[in-house]
Amino acid sequence: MTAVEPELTVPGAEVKLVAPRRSVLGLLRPLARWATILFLMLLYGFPLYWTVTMAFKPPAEWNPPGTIYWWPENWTWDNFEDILGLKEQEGIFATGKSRSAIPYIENSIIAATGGTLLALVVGVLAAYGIARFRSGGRMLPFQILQLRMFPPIAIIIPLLFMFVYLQLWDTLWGLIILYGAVTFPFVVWLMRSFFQEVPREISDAAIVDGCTHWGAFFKVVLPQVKGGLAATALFVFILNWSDFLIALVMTQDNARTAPVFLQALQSGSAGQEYGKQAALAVILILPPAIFGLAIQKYLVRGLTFGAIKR
Amino acid sequence: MAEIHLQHLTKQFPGGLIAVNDLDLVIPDGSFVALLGPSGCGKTTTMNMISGLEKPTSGEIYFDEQPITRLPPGARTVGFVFQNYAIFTHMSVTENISFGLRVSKPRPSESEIERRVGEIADILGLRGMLDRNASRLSVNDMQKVALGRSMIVNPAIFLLDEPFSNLDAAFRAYMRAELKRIQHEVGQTMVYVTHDQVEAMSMADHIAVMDAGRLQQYGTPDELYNAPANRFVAGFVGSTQMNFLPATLVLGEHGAGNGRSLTLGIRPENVQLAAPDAAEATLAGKVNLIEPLGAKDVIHLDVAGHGFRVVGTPGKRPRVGDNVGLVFDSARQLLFDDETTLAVDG
Amino acid sequence: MASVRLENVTVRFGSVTALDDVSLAVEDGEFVAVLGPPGAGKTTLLRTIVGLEKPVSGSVFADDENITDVYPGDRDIAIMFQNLALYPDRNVYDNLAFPLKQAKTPKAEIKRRVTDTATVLHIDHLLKRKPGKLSGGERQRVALGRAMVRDPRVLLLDEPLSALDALLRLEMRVELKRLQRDLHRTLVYVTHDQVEAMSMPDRVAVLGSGVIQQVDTPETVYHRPVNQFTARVVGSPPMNFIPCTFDTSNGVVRVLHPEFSVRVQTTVAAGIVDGASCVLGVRPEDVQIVSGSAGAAANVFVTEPLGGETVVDLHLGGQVVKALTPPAQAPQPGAGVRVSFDPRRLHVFDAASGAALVSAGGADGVFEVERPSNS
Repeated sequence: MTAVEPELTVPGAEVKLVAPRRSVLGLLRPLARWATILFLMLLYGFPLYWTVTMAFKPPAEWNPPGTIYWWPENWTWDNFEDILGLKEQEGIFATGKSRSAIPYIENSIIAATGGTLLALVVGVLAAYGIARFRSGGRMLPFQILQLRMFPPIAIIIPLLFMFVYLQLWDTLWGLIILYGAVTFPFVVWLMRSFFQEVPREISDAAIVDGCTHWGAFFKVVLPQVKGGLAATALFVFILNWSDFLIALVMTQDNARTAPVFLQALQSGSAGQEYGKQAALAVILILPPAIFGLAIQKYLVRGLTFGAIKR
Repeated sequence: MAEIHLQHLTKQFPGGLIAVNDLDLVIPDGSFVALLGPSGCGKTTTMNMISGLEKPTSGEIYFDEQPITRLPPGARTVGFVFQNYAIFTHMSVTENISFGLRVSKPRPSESEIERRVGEIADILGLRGMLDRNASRLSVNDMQKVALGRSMIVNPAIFLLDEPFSNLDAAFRAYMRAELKRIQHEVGQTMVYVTHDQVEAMSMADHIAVMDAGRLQQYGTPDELYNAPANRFVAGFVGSTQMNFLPATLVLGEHGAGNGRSLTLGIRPENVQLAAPDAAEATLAGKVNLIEPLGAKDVIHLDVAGHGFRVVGTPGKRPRVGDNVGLVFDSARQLLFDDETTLAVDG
Repeated sequence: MASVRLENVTVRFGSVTALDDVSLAVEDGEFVAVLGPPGAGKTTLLRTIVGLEKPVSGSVFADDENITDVYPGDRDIAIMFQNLALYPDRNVYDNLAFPLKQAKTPKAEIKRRVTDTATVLHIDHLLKRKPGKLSGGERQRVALGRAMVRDPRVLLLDEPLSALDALLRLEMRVELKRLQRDLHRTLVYVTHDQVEAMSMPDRVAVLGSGVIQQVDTPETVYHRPVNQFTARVVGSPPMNFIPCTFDTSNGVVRVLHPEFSVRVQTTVAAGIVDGASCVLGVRPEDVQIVSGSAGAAANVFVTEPLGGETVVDLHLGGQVVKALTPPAQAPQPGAGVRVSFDPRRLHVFDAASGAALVSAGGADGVFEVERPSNS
């Protein structure tokens, strides 16, 4: 086998194909492409940059009239210490340590994780039933998706009364149930398409090989969609983790979550406490990011499911 | 109508796989050429390059001396028929066939369209079902409609990618003859991709046999069958595979290539069974297995540890375990060099 | 090893009847092929035997035990699916071991049986690989191995060779037949490929539109098809069907065609109505191109060389008739020729029902091909 000339395998071959029309414009084209990419990167990256740098700015640099601090002049960990309750309070009415966000972060972790697990357990089973046995007929998947068409705010007032009556208001259990219910349609829709990619004969084979229906599901089918399951879990977790509206209405203090606490960070003397809010925001970015990194290898497979020849 | 000329055509996919390797091929104007080979041999990639769906890594494609390598698919005036008959099931047969004309610019007049549809329907034998909804057709008629759809725009070149592989066996045999007749009538250049050597042999004027991205042989069905260029072609063409036995060249004392390692090839139909001790028998073997195929039997033998096949007549069937003698038709035996796998003369 | 039997089995999917009153008995150690075009109900037949589909009526027996309501996993019947359905996340060893693990087989025993099966199928060097890293032929062997490893009563194979390349298919066909002969398994084999159905099994069951058309040895199905459907699905190129009419004048039964006539022996032609239309069936290899003025006049319109033989497409009285000839004797396209038929290999079918009325089945004297009737 003779070797192919190496220079022909580089992307430059494409340029060669438009060679007859090559001109100044042709040379500018890649330049314009890179400029666009750079611009979009800045556009999307800037808010993140602003939040992270804000977390390290002292109060004087937060939002002084007439000046913009593009970069923290006086780096400080004060905002983080404050938000984690490690800092002595200052001022006339201050007593003891600052108010810590840790209990709210804990609430967020429990409610988001619990809601995600609930949605996954119910949703995955429902999705398998729909994909494999056509449970509920042709319309059920659409009916389930329809649930999600309601903006939660449209039903939040009756829900509030219901939960107070059931004594679930301002409890973590109440939040878990609500989070599970709201994200369940996403799980069904995403997982249904993953299950549809698994040939029916694979579960049939397991049944003929001696498995029960449950056995075939857990031993043979589920391992094949674990990539999709990971992607779905991350997606649902992010939805629950960043919920503001439900937690705002359905909790007061006992089950209050971090996003609601973040919004409430303001004081009479300083107004909006941007630095502390930014510090908490940086902390709140971490769990989904860590989760995402941990399941990264499944994610790639989950998101390219079907494109890979198996 | 056009002649297709492929010059040093090479396609390397990202990742290094060389799908087509330095392919030179001239497909004469108005001829019916089959690209034949096992899956992964590069035949579909070659066709995709002719149609413009894939860009070659290097090399040129000419239609009638015109280089068209840089033209987009739409500008190449090629017609396609795919394995999965791409027809619009919500339209009638007429609407399906005329579709290409209706979207073309300038659009021909209604009467012109009607005339052309009628012409094509006559050639394809679809006259009686022009008003029928395409979804109500049999699979077999759908494939005819698909053919008609590509024919109506009068493409210079017709590309067919395994168009019959979804049809049932009986209709496939019928369509083989039909397509050959249609091609004779319309006289367009046809390139037909298939892995089925029966289809290639029975329809094409010339066959290009490919393997591992390289052209193995380009010739008429007769040349391929009777004078294969190498061992691959010999083994690939023919419905019951050619027998291969190891051999050594003995030329006498002064022979140049004396002791050269060769392979003897002989087709199963060129071997007769005889009594094991018959004088004319070249070799002896033991019957291993008999495959009855109705009109003929394929008898599997063990010849000195090598699998060997002979075509037998159902009336004179040996029993499994019998010892038999083999009489070779010496005019039909071939020799292949073991190093180059090329056919050796004499 | 054991026998399996279907008795009057009907399977429906909604309003579609997939199997209609099907009865089929497969003997112990027998190799039966189920042949039919796509959509005939072949796969449903296998799925019903293994228990993945439930019949609306009728029963399934294995070894005379009624297993109609037994759970698939408890039937001791194994199936190899057309798409193979290997467990992609498990390596070859675990794929083969899976059915044994479900049956709570001891570890040492699993190991022994997996190794034995892998050795028989020549996949013992692949045990650590995942299915994605195997070639088509290897994957196919693994699927066969997974079905065989439990030593089931009956082995069901659904188009096992369809995914393979032509050459590999040829090879596997022979190997599978040898394997069945050596291991003596009860085997039901579904295929749409008439070559496979002719060459491998002890008996063929021809299935069309959910109904069993004929069950017999491949040779009988080939030489004495019970109807046009069966005659059409075996043989390649398929049998020619030539519309004709009966003529029973002068106490002689004849099959009439404008270009020729065929005389039928009166003892086998009882009950034939004068003037009724019928279909003469003749296989391409039994159409003879003859010299001289004998035989029916025909025109060659296309020839299809196949290498060892050539298919000649003839126009005979406005109809295409395919003939199979040695390449050297193939006429040129456009030539006018005379054709005759091998009288020992003719069939006459009822035009309406397609049922075979008379088949020569290789015997002399049943038919006699005559000169064109007008001469």
